Amino acid sequence: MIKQLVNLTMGVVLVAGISGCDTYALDAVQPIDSVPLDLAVTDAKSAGAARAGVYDELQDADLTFDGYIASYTYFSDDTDWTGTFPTRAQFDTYNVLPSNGTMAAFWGAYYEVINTANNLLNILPSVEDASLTDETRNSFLAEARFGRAIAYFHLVTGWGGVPLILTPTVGVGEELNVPASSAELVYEQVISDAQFAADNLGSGTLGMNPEAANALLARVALMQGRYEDAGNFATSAIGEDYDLTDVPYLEDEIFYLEFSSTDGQSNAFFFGPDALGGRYSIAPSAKLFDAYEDGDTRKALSVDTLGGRRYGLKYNDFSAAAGSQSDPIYFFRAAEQVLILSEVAARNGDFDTAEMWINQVRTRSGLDDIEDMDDSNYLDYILQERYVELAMEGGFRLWDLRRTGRAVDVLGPDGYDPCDAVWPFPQSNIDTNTALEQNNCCNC
Amino acid sequence: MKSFKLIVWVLLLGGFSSLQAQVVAGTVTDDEGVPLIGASILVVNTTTGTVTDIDGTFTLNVTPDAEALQVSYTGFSSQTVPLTGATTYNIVLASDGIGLDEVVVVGYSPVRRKDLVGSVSSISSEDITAEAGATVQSALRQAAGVVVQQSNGAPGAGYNIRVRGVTSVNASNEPLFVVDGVPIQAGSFSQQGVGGQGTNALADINPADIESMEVLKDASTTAIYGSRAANGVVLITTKSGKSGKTRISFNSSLGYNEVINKVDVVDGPTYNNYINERYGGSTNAVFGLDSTVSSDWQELIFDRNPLTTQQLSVSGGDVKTKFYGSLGYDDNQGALNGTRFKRYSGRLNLDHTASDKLVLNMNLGYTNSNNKRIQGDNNIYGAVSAAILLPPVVPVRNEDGSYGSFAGLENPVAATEVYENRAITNRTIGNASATFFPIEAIALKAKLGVDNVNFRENIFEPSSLQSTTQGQIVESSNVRTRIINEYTATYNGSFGATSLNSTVGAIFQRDDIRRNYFETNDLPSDNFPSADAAATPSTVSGDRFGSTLNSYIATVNINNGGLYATASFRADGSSRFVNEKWGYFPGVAAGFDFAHSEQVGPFEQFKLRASYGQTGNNNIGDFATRPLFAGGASYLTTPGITQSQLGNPDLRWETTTQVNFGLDFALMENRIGAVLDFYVKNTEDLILNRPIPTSSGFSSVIANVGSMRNTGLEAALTFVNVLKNDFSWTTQLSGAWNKNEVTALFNDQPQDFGFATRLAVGEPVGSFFGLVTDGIYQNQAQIDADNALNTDPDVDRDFIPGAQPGDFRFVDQNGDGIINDDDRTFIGKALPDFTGGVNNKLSYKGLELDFFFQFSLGNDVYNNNLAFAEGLNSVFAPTVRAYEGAWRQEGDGNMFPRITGGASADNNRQDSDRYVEDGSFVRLKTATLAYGLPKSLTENIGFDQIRVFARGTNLITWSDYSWFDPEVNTFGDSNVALGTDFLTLPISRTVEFGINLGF
Repeated sequence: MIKQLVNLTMGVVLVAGISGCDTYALDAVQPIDSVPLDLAVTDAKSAGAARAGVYDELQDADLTFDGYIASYTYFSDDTDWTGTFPTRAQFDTYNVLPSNGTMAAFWGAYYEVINTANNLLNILPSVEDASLTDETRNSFLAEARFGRAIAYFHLVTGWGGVPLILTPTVGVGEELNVPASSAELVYEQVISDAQFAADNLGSGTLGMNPEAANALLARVALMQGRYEDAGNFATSAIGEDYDLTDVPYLEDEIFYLEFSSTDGQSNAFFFGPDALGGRYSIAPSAKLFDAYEDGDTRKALSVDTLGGRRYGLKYNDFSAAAGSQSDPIYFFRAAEQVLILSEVAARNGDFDTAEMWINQVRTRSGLDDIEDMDDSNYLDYILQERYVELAMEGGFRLWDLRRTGRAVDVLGPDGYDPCDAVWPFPQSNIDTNTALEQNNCCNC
Repeated sequence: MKSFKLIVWVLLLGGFSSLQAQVVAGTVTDDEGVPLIGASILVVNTTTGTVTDIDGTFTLNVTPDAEALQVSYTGFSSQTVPLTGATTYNIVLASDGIGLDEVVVVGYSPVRRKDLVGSVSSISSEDITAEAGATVQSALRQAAGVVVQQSNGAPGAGYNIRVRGVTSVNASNEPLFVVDGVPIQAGSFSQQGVGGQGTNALADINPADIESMEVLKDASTTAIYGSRAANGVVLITTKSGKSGKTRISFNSSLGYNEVINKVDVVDGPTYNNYINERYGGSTNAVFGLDSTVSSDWQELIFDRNPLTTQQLSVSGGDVKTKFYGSLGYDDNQGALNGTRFKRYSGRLNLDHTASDKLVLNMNLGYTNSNNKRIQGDNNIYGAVSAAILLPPVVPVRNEDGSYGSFAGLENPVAATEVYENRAITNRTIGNASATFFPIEAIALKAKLGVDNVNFRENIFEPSSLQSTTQGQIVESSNVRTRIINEYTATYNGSFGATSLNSTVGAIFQRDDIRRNYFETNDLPSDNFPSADAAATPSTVSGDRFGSTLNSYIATVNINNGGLYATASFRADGSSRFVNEKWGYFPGVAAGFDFAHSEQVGPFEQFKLRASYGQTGNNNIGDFATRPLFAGGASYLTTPGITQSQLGNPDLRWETTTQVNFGLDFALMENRIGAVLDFYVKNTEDLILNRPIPTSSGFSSVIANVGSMRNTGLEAALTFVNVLKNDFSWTTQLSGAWNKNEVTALFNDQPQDFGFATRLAVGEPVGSFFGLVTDGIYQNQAQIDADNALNTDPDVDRDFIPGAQPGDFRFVDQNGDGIINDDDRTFIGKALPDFTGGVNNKLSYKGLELDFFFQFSLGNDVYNNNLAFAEGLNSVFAPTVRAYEGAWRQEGDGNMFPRITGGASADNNRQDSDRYVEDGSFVRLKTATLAYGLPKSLTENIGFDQIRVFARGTNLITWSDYSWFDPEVNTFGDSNVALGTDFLTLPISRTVEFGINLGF
């Protein structure tokens, strides 16, 4: 009996020892939901997934509200801070500190878009898959580059020159210490990426299209004062003889970043007042509210009051919960391009054409035509129209005031100083990136 | 483990008994004449011995030259009985004053406390269950150098346990918990956020089943646990049966939890006045809220809620087979309505001595628990959050019957009534072993250990909650299996006066974890709380991970007269690392008891000890070292992948090197005992998420950078003040002083955590960083004077932009005439300087009184509640003291700023010392009053024991802290963001009445 037990015990030990080799080996457990880099993008399907990853990064929660909308609009006369986060308040008071965590979050989120794009751009050219045509391959590359262009465009308009990073992050040594490039170089990269996108975006994209790439090129050209280019790109974006008047407001999409209830965002939550289930962190400014002319049909689609308080309703999926709201981000609309064409014509002294374009926007909004445009007033007319047309859709107002040199005049009384032309680089990046010197922001 | 003790004794005692010459016999009893079963009897200076049988009797063959018998029994003083030539000896053992003869389990071998050279604290079963609603962790408070913090007051909530300070930033700081020799899975298994709080994996162990816990603190005792032992090791030994009469014991208690205090928030009319001052109109005019409503939210969500514990256990056996079985039921409803933790537990422990060559053992524990949680801190949907912040003018229910709410905040009553969140755990922890003795001195043992967790969470959020408009279902599961194979060989022998014990072994462990998670929205109505009724699936995820650990161990213990020495070594290989899989962990210790043979001066024991060793920490994600691409980055309906982590294939273990010096002494017939320790713990190769420029697309990469040091002193003193037959009084004092310091970080760059916590070289972990306030501006002239301080023509900034009278002034630390980030400094620290407790146990005849005071001194709390409840800038309800104390005119003091809105109020709410409060406290942690009926009475009615008791937990607290309670952390189990309070559920006071019956 004892002997049998002994034998049994020894047998168990032996069996455990042998069978243990596989089960307990130090490489016995491997991840299934994540894979090493060299296995990530290997064919057309996985390349398509990596391209979708660029859109997903553009949807980052730190970008959809703070990145694209709140920071730039607080930092102008577009919106007011009505929330509880002090880091957001700093944008409203033109007093953004390097330690601002909200700013650091969306700065980082732009670079996540960039790194995701850089990864695909790095690996896709060498992927071998017979089903991956050159056209598809180039279209995927173009989506990555357009995503990267959108990210760098926001970075350069927020911070001026920033570190220009065009390769994926692999090593974590000295290569991470990248100095800020000049704003000009960043713009050059935006233009180069957008131009590639305009030339190569094909039919199988997840929404990006050549027209949107041209719209970005037109926007950049306008900012840089290259008005002829701006006109040409805008024409490429919407086509010759475009007519906006029959297209309902906000339905003149060139490219919107889309959301759904299962892949949602929270802007309606941040804009919505309490009675609509919102957090009410942001509200249209009194100035914006009053800027709508009587009879402007856009007003009811943009702003309202509830309980005596103003609120914005361009993001109005109030019935869905935060994180499940399906409002788009209005990246590129035809109306912006129409107004670019108007401004370009006016700057050429062609006020008839300028009036024709701006009045398309006004007619659609139920407003009377402008018929007295001249050298002295064209910019007022156009900036006013852009102010209300593009309200709360992004940094348009801030960009307009800066590019026309009016920022200090218009925003100065609220605290905007010349040094507010850029936000400070996040302190975390100054601390960790030994090649990065703080820019000339007000609090630096 | 119990069986293993027995084996060792048998080995020590059973050898060479065949050299017989004379037979002696007798009985061993306690001072009341109760036979002691299993007491060991050893012929002095030999290895000849035996144990007493079921009647406490023994027979032993002794050689003619034998001089005396050494008689010992756990919990009693050993006694040396001279052999007078008589053949019968009736030996009465006295109970052991300070417990020097108790056997403590250390690593893979049991040791008498007297022989210890490492630093080990033991906690008895009596102390483990002294607290109402006790958990494994709560009992650890009794051990010197162990800081126990419950992160919030929900039943089943998690704890922070720190043994000798904080050793890690990124890997876990929790000690390794080992149940009957099986290292178990700890931490929180929850995938559902309810604020900062997780669940408690150790709540699956019924404290009533625990015989003892040992906390291994120094490296000579922990090194044998190698790569997981840097934070200390807690050995949990469950109860085992004793030979003899079958004993049935039934324990039942019933009591209640209640909140200790409330925060004084304004009522409806006062809130209306506040809104008038803030917005220039009544609540009705500004928000459409009826200003005559006055809801006392805290009153509505806190209550005296019941808790009950029932425990039935049966133990007994004969000389060959012993068993312990139990069934337990706990139902603990927290002071916050809606929180509830229910647990059913069962245990069966068996020991069987098949022959003198084979011993079999099995310990098996099963629990089913149901933890009902509600939304917690740092979360606008949390019950306590909303109870503080939601204006009192909001009605509990609107006229249409819906819950009142405002500004997106949840209705606190709704949060406690209709939010359904259950975490259900089925868990089996067990082990089975067979020990074979080829010769008496050698034991070969094979052991299989299992820890199987089936953890499921179901949430139903009806549409009446603010967090969802259509109703939401969230379900997730976390199935974890740990299997451990352990093979050891132990040699016990002696050579002359030297005894030697040595173990070598190999241990193979594998963990497999499968998780999944989904959320679905849009239910037809609140009457369909099921996932298949939902229209819109939103998040769906699933993953699998795991790890393997291969270990080889060797230990040697040598004992010669008063000299004790031990050495151990462990090699650990872990799948979590790529290029540096193996780590080697040595430990050595030596001690000498100057009083081992005879008293030295007044000392019956005077033992100096020293130890040195290395331990590791591998508590990082299973695949954290690998560069990976992950899915889940879909855009609308197109699946997407992105680079998810950078990884670091060269990552190694964190290594902690600890040096310990100790002195143990005993006086006055073991009536006074002291254990003193001094240690220095240096942790190197700290595994840190080292921050990298976020322009890389990542904020950090995992790396071995940085180091940390803990230096400390510990004292545990025991006084047996009175030890008489009908009256005894014992006092135990424990105190620990620990200093933590971060000694290096990557490029010595600071890192920020939580709200205002900064990790920086030269500072302790958990330091707070912010501005320093300097009163409140009483008039414009003071502001103008400050604005004149900045003389730099290039900087066109006011001292504090937008400041007005009534706003805080801050100290300009760098003297540049402007207040900005550069003026921040260290303003407090979360770690205490000095912790400990005083435990008194009195018994007079059948009456017992135990009370335990706990203290924590020198720790600060970052009370971020004040930024909201005393911000005086928003719609949130202010506290009474802030509203009444608000600055309204010159001379109004420096406590609270003016009531103001918009962005300029931001100045007053900056991270500053305004929110740092002294979190020191002294607490009457537990007190028990019990009465046991005299045996003469109980025996007549067939009971061995009838005992009734009343006990309480958190009875009285002395603290200057202004909020609920200083023992809090809104960041749950965070390693670095410590001591922060933000709308966190406070711990509760518990009072319980109960009865123990023994048959």
